[in-house]
Amino acid sequence: MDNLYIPDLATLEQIQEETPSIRTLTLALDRPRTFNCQPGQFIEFTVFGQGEFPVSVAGVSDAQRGRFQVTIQRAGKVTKEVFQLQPGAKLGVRGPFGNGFPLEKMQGQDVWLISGGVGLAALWYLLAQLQEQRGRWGQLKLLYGARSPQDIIYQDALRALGRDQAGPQVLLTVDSAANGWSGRVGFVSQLLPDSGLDPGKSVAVVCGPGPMMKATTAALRKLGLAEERILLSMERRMQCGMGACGHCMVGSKRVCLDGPVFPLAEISNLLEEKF
Amino acid sequence: MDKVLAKKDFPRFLADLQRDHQVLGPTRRGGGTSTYAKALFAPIRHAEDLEINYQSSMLSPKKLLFPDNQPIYEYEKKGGQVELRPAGEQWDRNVVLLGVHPCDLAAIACLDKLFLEDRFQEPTYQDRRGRLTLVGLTCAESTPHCFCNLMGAGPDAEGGYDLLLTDLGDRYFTRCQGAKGDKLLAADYFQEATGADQQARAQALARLEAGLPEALDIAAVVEHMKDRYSDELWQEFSEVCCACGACNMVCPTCHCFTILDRTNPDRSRGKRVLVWDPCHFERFAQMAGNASVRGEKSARYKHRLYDKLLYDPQRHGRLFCVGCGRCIEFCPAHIDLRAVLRKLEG
Repeated sequence: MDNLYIPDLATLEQIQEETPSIRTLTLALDRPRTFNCQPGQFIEFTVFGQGEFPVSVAGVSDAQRGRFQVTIQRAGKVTKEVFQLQPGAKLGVRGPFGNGFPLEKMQGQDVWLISGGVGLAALWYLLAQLQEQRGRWGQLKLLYGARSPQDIIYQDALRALGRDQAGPQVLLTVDSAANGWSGRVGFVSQLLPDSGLDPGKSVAVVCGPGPMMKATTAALRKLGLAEERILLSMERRMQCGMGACGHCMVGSKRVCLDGPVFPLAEISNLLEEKF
Repeated sequence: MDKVLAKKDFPRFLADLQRDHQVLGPTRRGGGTSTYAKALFAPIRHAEDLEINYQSSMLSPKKLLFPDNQPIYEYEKKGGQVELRPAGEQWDRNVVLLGVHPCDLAAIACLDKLFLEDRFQEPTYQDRRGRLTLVGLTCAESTPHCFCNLMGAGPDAEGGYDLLLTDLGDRYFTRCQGAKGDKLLAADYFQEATGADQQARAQALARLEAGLPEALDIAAVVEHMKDRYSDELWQEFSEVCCACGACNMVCPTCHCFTILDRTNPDRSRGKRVLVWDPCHFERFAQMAGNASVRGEKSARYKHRLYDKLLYDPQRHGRLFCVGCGRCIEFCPAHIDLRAVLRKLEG
């Protein structure tokens, strides 16, 4: 009998410093198995001797060999330890868990990806899939807000996307500008009114800190986008990943099983702090 | 099938159980160094270990099937490598749980729903449950905290047992369900139950029922809760709550847990353990960066009741409160769930 709490061992192959407090790690499972991961799913990540935490899969570079990326922000006791890791380190991986994004429901629609801070990581693998199957969707747009220019993650990739004629339109904003920033200043929700969103044929996918999600869903409602068309990727501290430990409950929903992706319509009445 | 077991033959029954099983049952050991003597489910080696007339135990048999602080695996870092060894403590024998009251039988049925019939199987629970024979016992008397009748979990047990005993003075009425029970009932000391035995059983349970709280319309309570999520009643109910988590720890259906690493000082070796975790604690619903989703005590109190009375029933088709009364008995603030339910009923 498989014990679902025991992680698979993985080796840290590569570290990409995104910002002073955010890193992207490339991991490869030691005993290769097909890493069957849908965009939007998460893994439970173990730093041995420190603990375990849930994190979105930001990319899968080789599903057959179990090679994938996670982007981690230093936020607490265990994530702090991630910043001590060197390539070659042995880590633990359980999962992937959760439902992932409903790609079939997004078919034929314009897709607006709206993210704040490290929340972009949860949408990054989705964006890769959207681009890979470009013909299935209408317009693609990526709206991204960071605290300051130096807090923007995936900078090189974002620049490349911006130059790519066939790629999504990228709109960046920062909460506070620094020297040399000539782009927008303000919250990502403020980019929405002029973004050309057509509520009749669009799906918005939102991930970011609580206040950002709240402001963004409010702005989307104002544009007339139905709650069924607003998809949220929820953050909770999923501990078991299997619906038993109780930590990730949002009302009756278990984020680890029923989510982490929810249409706003499904959870707007369940949130302790109303969106 | 219904039979009776004369009390003089009970030691033979016990000895037969012990031959093929480890027998666990209520013992007097619960008092320990405490002045508060409660039965504790523990191994029964001799007939006199068994405190069969116990009123209630502080901890339900949940502790045996889904232990607190259970090891999952051990890890050891060795020269850049990590070794993992499964560390689950498996039962090496089949086990009989003897003398389980109907509320606790109902609670095991709840845990079965969650740990065996949901979208995954909890490994320790699954293993132990497969080795378990349940011999229930209807209560001889109720405690001042009992309300199993309000939750449809007692005083008689509808199911969830292999054998169910009822004390009829000089004999135990013995009801049986399923193949495991049939096999046990085949022993020659079990006699056919007569009409008089049936009647005596019904009378015993009616006497018990008379001592339990007056009826409550639990369906109405649940219906009203649907409209009262934002009601200020929740503030009132939880005002004196100390958020100590005692109700969580003694509850036979509370199943929430956290996963921790216990390590040696340099963290090169350690054990990952599964530890019961009360949803009444503020950090229970904490996220990265310490933001808590249910920072208010009343939100946590409310969440626990909604989970037991609305969310779990939606998912699993049964109430996850069995009316055992432990949360009332052990609440330092004397919060009485029965009073809360009556307020919600009206």
